[in-house]
Amino acid sequence: MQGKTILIVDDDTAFSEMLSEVLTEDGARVVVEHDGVVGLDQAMQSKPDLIMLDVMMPRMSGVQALEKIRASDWGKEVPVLMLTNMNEPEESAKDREAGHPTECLLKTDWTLDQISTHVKELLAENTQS
Amino acid sequence: MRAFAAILSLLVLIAGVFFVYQYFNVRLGLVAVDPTYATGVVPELLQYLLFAGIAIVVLVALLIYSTLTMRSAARRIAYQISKDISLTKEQFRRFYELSPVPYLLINKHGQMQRPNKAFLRLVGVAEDELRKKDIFTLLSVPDNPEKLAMYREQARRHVAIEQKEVQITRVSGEHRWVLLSIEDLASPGGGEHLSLVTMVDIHEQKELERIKTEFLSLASHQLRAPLANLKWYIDFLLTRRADDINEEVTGYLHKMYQRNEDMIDLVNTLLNMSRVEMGRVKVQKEDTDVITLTKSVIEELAPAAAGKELHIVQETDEALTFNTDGRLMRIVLQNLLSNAIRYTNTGGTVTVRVHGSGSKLTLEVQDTGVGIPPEEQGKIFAKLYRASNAQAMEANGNGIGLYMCKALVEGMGGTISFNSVIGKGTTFTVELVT
Repeated sequence: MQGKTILIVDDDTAFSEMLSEVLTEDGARVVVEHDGVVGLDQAMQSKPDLIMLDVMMPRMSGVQALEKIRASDWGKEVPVLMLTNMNEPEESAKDREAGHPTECLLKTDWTLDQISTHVKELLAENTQS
Repeated sequence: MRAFAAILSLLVLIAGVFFVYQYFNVRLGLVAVDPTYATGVVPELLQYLLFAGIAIVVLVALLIYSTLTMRSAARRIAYQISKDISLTKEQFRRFYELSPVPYLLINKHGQMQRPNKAFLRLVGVAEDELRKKDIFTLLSVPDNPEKLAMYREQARRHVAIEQKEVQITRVSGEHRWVLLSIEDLASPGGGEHLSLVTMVDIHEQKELERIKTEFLSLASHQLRAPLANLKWYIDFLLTRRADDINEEVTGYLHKMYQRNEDMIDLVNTLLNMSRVEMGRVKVQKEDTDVITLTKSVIEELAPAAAGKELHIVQETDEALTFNTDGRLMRIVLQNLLSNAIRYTNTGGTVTVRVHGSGSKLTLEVQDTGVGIPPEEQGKIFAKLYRASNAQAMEANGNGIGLYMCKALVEGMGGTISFNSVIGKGTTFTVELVT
């Protein structure tokens, strides 16, 4: 993960700080934003290699931010992981799919190692493609 | 009428007999006076002709009488029948008008006729405003507008529509959920070909459902957030600060992690259980791409399997669309697969099979796990029951999963069964029907 930039946008401070710590230890450069609007700006400016977006945030939801990112030239292909504590595959699947996230992850399903490995794989894939 | 007929017939009879008799009498008299008068005419023959004449007159009189009386009887019966019909029609009209269920008649273009009082109340208009308008302009299916087009087409082709959930727009702009049914009214003997539309107001139930769903979403979300935090804090200490903590601390941290996982599991189950409760209320079958559904469930559980180095094998038909409730099928599959993963030791295999033939769909989840002890197999579907070896293997698990699966499967009209050998593995088989 060396040299890669990861942007985390999540209003859950405890979660995002922990995630940032782990990914930094694994060698990535991590930026954390706790607000959807600010996060979106940051994404457009710094063009990270991977974005991890929480679905439910106060000012702008992850889904809205993702749609905007996908609408931009740069953002069409960037890998985006949607993180959530809600698990309603049927009901909100359509909404979540609107921005074509790379994947939707239920936070409570993943251990730190699993998430780290998964992120590594995604970044490696992306470099190759 | 009968009196008139009798008198008329009698008069005809008397007059006829009189004239016939006179005629033959005169002729007989002439013959008697002058034997050469009617040569070739035998007097006896004249006698016979006289009797024949009288008989004919009698028959004619009878004919007149019966014709006249029959027509009047027929007219009376016809009158009685038409009175009975009017009475029944009137009763029916009252039933239709006063029914608490909104009724409406439409032609194949959906044009409205004869809305009953309940319907007018539902929409909030007076009759005149509805005449000739297309009923489908008042209806909508949120999230699924194609369905409305489909119903419109079905109505046009006089295909019955049974209890579909749609929204109707009241004149105030408010939307209300109703259960729509459209039934063809065959019209023998011409007349416009109409259909009967009924709508049952289910708004309150739907609202309640929506409130429940939203509450559950919010509750599960709020509950999961701190649990996710805890999970990672403990995970962090155990995996990335292992050198800084002694064995005793590690031990306790493991226990904390486990209890936390139990809580996460409980929240998942709580959410699913509530979905089951609602699922029990209404199973909605639709054409579902069951292969894609299966693949997505397997993907969902792939990390858990990977964590135990388990191999998940997928043996399914290439593509299969089956008429069933996709949400419920997903929950069942998630449960069975999650159980298989949980109760199979490291390095084992879990096989998922999905095959359909005609109106039957077979799902199988086979594992190379610890199996279920024979003496406990009868109780495995009971609420809160966990087999002894399962409990020994994993403190996780609350015993609700299989109970829920059984309830869901049976709610869909299917069957669930299993085959298990201790130490070898278990295969759960679900058979669903359309």
